[in-house]
Amino acid sequence: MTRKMNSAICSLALCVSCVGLASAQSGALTGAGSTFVNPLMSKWSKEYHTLHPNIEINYQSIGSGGGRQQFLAKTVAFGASDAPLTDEQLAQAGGVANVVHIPVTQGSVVIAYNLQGVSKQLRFSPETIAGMFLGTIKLWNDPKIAADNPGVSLPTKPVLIVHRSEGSGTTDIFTDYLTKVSAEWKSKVGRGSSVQWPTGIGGQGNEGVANSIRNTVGGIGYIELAYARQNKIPYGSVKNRSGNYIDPDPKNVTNAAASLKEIPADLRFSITDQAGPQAYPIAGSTWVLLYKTQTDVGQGNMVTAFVQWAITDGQKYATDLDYAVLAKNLAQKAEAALRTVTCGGKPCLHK
Amino acid sequence: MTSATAELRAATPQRKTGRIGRADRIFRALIMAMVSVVLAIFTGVLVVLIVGAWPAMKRFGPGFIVHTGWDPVHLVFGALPFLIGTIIVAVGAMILACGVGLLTAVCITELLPAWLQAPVAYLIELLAFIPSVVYGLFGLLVVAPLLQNTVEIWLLEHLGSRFAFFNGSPYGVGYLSAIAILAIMLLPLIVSLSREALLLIPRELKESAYALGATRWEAIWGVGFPFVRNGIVGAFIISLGRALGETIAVAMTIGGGFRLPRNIMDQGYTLASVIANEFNEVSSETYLSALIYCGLILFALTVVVNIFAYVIVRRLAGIRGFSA
Repeated sequence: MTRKMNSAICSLALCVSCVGLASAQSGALTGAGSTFVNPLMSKWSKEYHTLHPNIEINYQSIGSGGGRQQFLAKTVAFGASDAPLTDEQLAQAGGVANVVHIPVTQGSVVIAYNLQGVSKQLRFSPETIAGMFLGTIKLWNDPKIAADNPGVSLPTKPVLIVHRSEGSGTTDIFTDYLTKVSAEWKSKVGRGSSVQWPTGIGGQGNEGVANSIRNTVGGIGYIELAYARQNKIPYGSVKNRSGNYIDPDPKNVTNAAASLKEIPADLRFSITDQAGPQAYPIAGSTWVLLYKTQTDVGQGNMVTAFVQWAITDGQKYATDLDYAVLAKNLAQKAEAALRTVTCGGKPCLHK
Repeated sequence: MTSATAELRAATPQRKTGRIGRADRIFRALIMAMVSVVLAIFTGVLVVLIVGAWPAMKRFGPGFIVHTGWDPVHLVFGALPFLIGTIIVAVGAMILACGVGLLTAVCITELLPAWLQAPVAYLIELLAFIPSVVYGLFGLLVVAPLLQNTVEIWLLEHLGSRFAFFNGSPYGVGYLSAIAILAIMLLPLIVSLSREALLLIPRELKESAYALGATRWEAIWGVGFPFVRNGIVGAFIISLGRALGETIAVAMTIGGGFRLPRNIMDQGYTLASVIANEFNEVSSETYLSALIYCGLILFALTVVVNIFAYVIVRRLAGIRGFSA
């Protein structure tokens, strides 16, 4: 008698736990890609796990290129990339109807420099930046740099360009900007995660670039904001399309995204060189890549719920880590795109 | 005991040979299997490289090896700068490391007191256990800035005006830093292999030389050294193989650049380091294929160097009149 009751209770308990599992979901989500988003993604994984103890998010920061490859090979629940899929890669994934790009965060790329004796934050116009990176502006006291910085006494030091030596999403953002603001850059060099630099030396990773800038007076290069701030490397403000010199603070990246005139339906946009009065012009986004039709229903439910949280509640963790909060217009579009993802014929997201 | 064994042997001749035959066959099959695994891996690597490089081979042909220009945006690729970079870095590092390494080995085996030999040798060999990424960091954070402020300035001031090869801009990262860090990495290998070789010099040989009135120098270089020349050359060649293929430490210190090297302080790439740095963020299939093509060239280069080395060692052995 007691034994029967026991087993009945047991099976009841089992059943309850089954139901519990089905509604709360549990398991591990694997994502891979962008190193840029890694600190924020780690924070998200931790906070999300605290909210949903059944769900583990395992993010491997192998680089955006690797993230796109893993996504195309369908070995991960989501990919994360600082550049959207190319048309070629979209075709590989089964066309634009098969993939959603969800912007999850944004960040600025700063022009960092080493000029002893110049304590005021330098100001750069697009022509000056392009001139230096094309090798036509060779000295720091060049009239073009001086015109950007009235009242600053600039040394007669050679300009040493430091760029990333390896292929990098940061390079892609920076060359995207240069391609937009300089016709000469567009025809001579172009945009890419790795380009044929007309001048300068290479450093491996943000660390390598920062190191070469620090070691050479007259050095200048592009690095991520968080990296420049943590290592106290001075960086300049950049003149945007409205003619204002803007500091690369995360809120000015949000301003840039907010001033996007039209956002393409597939969300493969670029926020460099935007017209808003307070828009910082050299910035990029990280997208989470998802297949529109999730074959694994459980995983589909989990991953969409996580991304939805990341682009809404999760945004509050961005600023402390020097990331830009998603602008309202983008967040709305991103969530709408996320709602088109289906699990077993129905939308994955219920709320 | 002996008679019992003999009896046993006499009693079961048939079974015993049968068993030996079977064991032999199994052993043989096992060995053949192992050999085939090794061969299969070699062929597998080659096939994967050729298949991966095929689109680039079709597009650029063998001219890929002698062309300059590496533009991932416009998809124009030529590997000559990296091939030359590989040779400069490997040869430069070998020149630095072989001299120092060989002299260190001689010092350890011939000059140091016996109780100090093993500990010193062990300390140097410990250098070989440091992962190459750590050497890379050391190169980037310590060696490159040091060279930038000392050696590069000196070279520029004293040799720069006479030789274009030394007339560069002292920026730290570049060929010179890569050469320096690679030389440090090769040292333990060269010291330990040459020491092993030097230890083979028969004591009698050296003693006879001394008895005939030879100085220490003459005894080591004139009598002992020719005896172990094979081993030393072998040590150098193993190190050269390592130098050609070293990837991450070079990638971190060489600076990166797609043009032909103009001087020793310039920035560029070796075949291995360009693959390591560019592979992750490769932007198109053609680019990926061009990188794998670089891998194929490196593979071929290594094989050629090793065959060449084998021939040299054989020839040296022939001259000496005993086998390697």
